[in-house]
Amino acid sequence: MVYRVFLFFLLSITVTFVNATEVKVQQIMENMSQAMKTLDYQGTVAFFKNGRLDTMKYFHSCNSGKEQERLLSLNSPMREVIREAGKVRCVFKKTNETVVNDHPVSESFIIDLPDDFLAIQSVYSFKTLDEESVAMLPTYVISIEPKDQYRYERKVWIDKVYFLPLKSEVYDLEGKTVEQVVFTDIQVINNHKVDKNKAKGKDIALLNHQAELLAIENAGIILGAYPSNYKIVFFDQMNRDDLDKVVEHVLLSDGFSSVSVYVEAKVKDTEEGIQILGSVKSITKIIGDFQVTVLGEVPVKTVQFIVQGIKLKK
Amino acid sequence: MKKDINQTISQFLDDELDHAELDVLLSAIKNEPELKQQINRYQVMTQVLTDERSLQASPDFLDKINQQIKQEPHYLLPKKVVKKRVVPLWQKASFAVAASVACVAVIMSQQSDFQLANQFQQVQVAAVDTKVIENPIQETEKEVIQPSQHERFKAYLQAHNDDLYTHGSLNVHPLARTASYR
Repeated sequence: MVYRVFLFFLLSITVTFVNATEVKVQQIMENMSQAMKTLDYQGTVAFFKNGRLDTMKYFHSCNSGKEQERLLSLNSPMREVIREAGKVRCVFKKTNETVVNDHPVSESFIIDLPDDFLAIQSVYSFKTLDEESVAMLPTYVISIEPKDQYRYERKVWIDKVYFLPLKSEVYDLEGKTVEQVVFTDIQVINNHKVDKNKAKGKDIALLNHQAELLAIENAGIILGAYPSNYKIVFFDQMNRDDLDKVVEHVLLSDGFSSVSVYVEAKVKDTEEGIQILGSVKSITKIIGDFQVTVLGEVPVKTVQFIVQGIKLKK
Repeated sequence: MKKDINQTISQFLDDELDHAELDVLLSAIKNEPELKQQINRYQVMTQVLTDERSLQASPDFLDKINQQIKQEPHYLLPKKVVKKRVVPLWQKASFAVAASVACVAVIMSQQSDFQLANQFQQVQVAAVDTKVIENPIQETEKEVIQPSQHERFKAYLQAHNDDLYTHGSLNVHPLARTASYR
């Protein structure tokens, strides 16, 4: 009897400890999400992807709940990139060419985060690792491990004072680093710390803007199946200047990873099959008179799963 | 006829057919699957008679390999972009005029007696030259219109991620919703 009571006591302690750890990780992630949107900060960021490295000056500001992100290149081609009110504008200094993207896929140049950290735990498990220093600042290291084969593992290094992400890495299924974003220096300009009780929806005009785009009923396809916790973020029709053709674009995301589905009229000599370009996996399939391409920085299995469920609307 | 075929198969197995006969046999095999089976049977018999070990592949073996090859992913390796130097129309026209003037000068020095008449002819030549230059330019513009599957893939990629901004790929036209030039 005494043995059973002792066992029950031990189990209770273990469960409580695990829950406390999960709550702590979730709290750190939520603090990071808030800090990224509300603080004014700037620094130098190195972007490493598919064997390419680029270093840029980064500026973030938040005025009356309106966010602005700005990137200034340090190397050629010289360019300035501004994200505000849900749009991204890129100006190439040499040619004065300006490219405006009304519906950018990502919400941040540094790291994309889900809105609901509790819901995302059905497909990812969050673990705290040993603390490390990045840009001479102490950080929490959080490992975000997928629970299925449809997404990549990632790690994020979060500043212990302001909860800003100082480094993030994405790993493929073999554990190789496919993407890395790291601050080499960072300064927080307004030093108000994260108010944990702040209302979540108050400061995000950006998300409201994007919500207007959700009209998937207008798409020419039906997305029959996609991996758990992936959601349709937006549907858009893009005009290609070079082909004078309309391309339908549906964006799916689980918060961390995103997948694009492109549909256009069948082009002669299009080959079906899988294409791999570094961390990006893509699959093309001909359905009737249309060609469908599913593309994203996700495992091959994910794009295959999504393309298999696609049907044309009658 | 059947006797001829049997003879041909026998020669084929003995490697005694010339190229023309081999072509005829291969096209016959393509049209008649039974013939293929017949050759397989003869081959096995030959191997048994010559005491060689035979290994019979299943009939759909090659089809399966073909299917596997079709399912292999395409690896899009970075390709060095070779930019074609497009000479502007005005530059080509000025070359043509310069060449024509040079011709006029040479002809003028040789045939000074017919100066006025020759000048008139050279102007006509220059006009014809300019016409010839215009056509190739129109043709190259037509060629540029159709992007390859690789270019389309790159355009999709740029619409999907932030590489255009963080790595500044200027070479490819993005799937931009709005683009303006100052």
